[in-house]
Amino acid sequence: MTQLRPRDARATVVLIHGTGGNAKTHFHTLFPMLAAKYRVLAVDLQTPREGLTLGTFSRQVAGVIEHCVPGRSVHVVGYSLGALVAADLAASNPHTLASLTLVAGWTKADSQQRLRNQIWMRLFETDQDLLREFVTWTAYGHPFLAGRSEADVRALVEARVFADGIAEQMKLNANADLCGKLASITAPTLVVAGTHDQMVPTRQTKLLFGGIPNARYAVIDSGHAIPQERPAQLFQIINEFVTDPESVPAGEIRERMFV
Amino acid sequence: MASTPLGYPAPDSSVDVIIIGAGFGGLGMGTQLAREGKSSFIVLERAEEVGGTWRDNHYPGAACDVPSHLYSFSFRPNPEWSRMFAPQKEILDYLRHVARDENFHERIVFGAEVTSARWDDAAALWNVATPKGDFSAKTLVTAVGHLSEPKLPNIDGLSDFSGSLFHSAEWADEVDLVGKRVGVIGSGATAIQVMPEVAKIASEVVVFQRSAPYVTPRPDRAYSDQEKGLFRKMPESIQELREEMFWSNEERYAQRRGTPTLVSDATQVALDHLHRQIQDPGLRRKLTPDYIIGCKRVLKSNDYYPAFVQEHVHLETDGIERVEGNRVITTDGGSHELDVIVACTGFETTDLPIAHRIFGRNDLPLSERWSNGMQAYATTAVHGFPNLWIINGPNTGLGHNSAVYIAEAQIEYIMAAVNFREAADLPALEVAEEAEEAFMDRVDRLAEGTVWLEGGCRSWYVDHRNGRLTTLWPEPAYTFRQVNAHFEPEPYLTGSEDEPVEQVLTAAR
Repeated sequence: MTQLRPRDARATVVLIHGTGGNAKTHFHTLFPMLAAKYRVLAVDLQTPREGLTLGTFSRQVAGVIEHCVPGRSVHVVGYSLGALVAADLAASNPHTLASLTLVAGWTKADSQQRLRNQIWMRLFETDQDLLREFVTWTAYGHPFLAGRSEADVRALVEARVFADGIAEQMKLNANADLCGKLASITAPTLVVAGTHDQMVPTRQTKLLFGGIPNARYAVIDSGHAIPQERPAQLFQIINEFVTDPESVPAGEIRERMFV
Repeated sequence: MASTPLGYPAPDSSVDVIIIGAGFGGLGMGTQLAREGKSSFIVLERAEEVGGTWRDNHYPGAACDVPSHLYSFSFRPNPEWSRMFAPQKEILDYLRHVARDENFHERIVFGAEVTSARWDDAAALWNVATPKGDFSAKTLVTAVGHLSEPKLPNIDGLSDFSGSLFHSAEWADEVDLVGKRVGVIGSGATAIQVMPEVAKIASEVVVFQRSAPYVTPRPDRAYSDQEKGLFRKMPESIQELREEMFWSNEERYAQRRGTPTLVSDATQVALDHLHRQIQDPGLRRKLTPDYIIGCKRVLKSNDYYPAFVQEHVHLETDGIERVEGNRVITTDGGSHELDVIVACTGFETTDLPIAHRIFGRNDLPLSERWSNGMQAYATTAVHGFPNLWIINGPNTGLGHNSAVYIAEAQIEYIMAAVNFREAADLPALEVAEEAEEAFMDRVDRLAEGTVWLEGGCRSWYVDHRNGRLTTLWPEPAYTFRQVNAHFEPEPYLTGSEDEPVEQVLTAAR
């Protein structure tokens, strides 16, 4: 564990990455934006060979928080699978969280999501080059990809690597179920959805919003890769929420940001 | 208040608001006042035409390097932009339409360069003198821009150059450059647009470069007919595009905080561009910047580097020693015989000429108040200068996003301030000195650690009198709006002893 400023007394934001990523790849731009104002702890989740559950990951995050900021409440931000981990953490450690931000998260994979998951699994075993293209096509929003040159899109495809443990994480994506836990989340919560998300359609993010009592909802015109497509907008939304979690009352939708 | 009929009043009669300048800032302010219809106003413009920067800078190749759907008013989207980065003429046309379509063209007084604006405390009025007569108003809004006063370099003998000499913002249309030997002084945002165009017709071009800029690809393209049709029929599609452009620009802000990974990514993009376009190792070396990216403006061009590959285009990196007759002599004794010199040497940005013509309480010139650097509360109000609001003044420049977005935030603030003063029935709003100082301390803190202060370059972003970042806003553009668009009256009410603050606020609400 590297702590650049172990004695940093500013409010702490904990970042939890999603499937196949790590702190560096998923929060490349968001991390420095947040770090200008907050102490940021970005966790690299460790995937065991078997028996992976949301609890495995949320206990890892709880351990990091306990080690780095013992006895202090923190703002937790989870992205994609990391959002499920964050929600699990919030349900089991209600006193640890000053706030909870769930970016492109879901409650329980539905048939549309499970179909994508099956295609992914099949390609992972048979054709990883094609999988790179498939994942690029599903991860980014159509305006984001359409606005780039073929060479840029090709570079995105080629840059994609399948990290150790990714298949186990994909199984968890298919099987994880937050439904019984949402009602017990007490931290002020912000649910962030990407309007063009094909991997976690807004239908799912809306269910998180529906299930968590103290939740508000914000949308970003992005695909699933919100931290890559719109890091600056995501930063502003998180910053506003963390600064004053009740500025948008529970149950309400954050109005569009003026541009 | 009764709305004044169209047409500007006779000199000596008073209006509610005088706006100085008919560029983006002044026209945006005028639009909001005209739309609201509560205050009478006039716009004083020194030239014979609207457009500010986009009227003056009509040099060959002039274009904006912020995409046009973003570099336009949110309240006046334009489905007709021909390209992602529209040329100067189109931007000027857009601005011409603003004044006409918003029905206040008649309120613009042309040829009315402000020679002085004095605050009369007893009458609570600004008295403004121009060659077109004297005008007075309760509120004065300056929107003269921070890139409006051309600055020539201080070079021995330059003014005696025997050929033609002019500044890029004062382009001499009558000087034919075909077959001429042309020197371009500077290698900033203007020079990189001018040079490739001049190189198409001149017999020889010499670029005098003091420090190499970072140049990145310019992702320009024309909009198709079906796209423009879509913009017309579904204006929300313009808004979506605008948001995409805005947030993509905002992302670049993170580089300016000096985060090593992001700085190296951005540097790589620029250096890859250089390497793709320039093969000659010596030329590459001369065109490689020696400071951290973002410290000076990062430029966008696809045709600047390729222009150097032509036989008749030369890059001179030795400093200019002096000018003698028709020769420019460099510090190492070399010399270039030239027919024309184009100075692409930027603008006066830290000691604005308008500040020498505005006199506040006790006849204090704004330039004196700012003798140690510009500063303003919420970037727009200055202690000692009641009812004066500054658009595009201190800390309003951006290294990464659209200046129009910034002006709109300021206009929103000023509209609220003007309406508050009217509703509270106060003769004047003057910001407390402590509030102004506290605001500047905050800006100073925000600027710490940014590449502008620590990137190892000399740029117009920093005032060399005090080492402070006085022209640039040190945070993302969105944060500018959060901090500076919302008017709160309290910092303006500390001085009114006769009436308790609460009472004033209640009256206004």
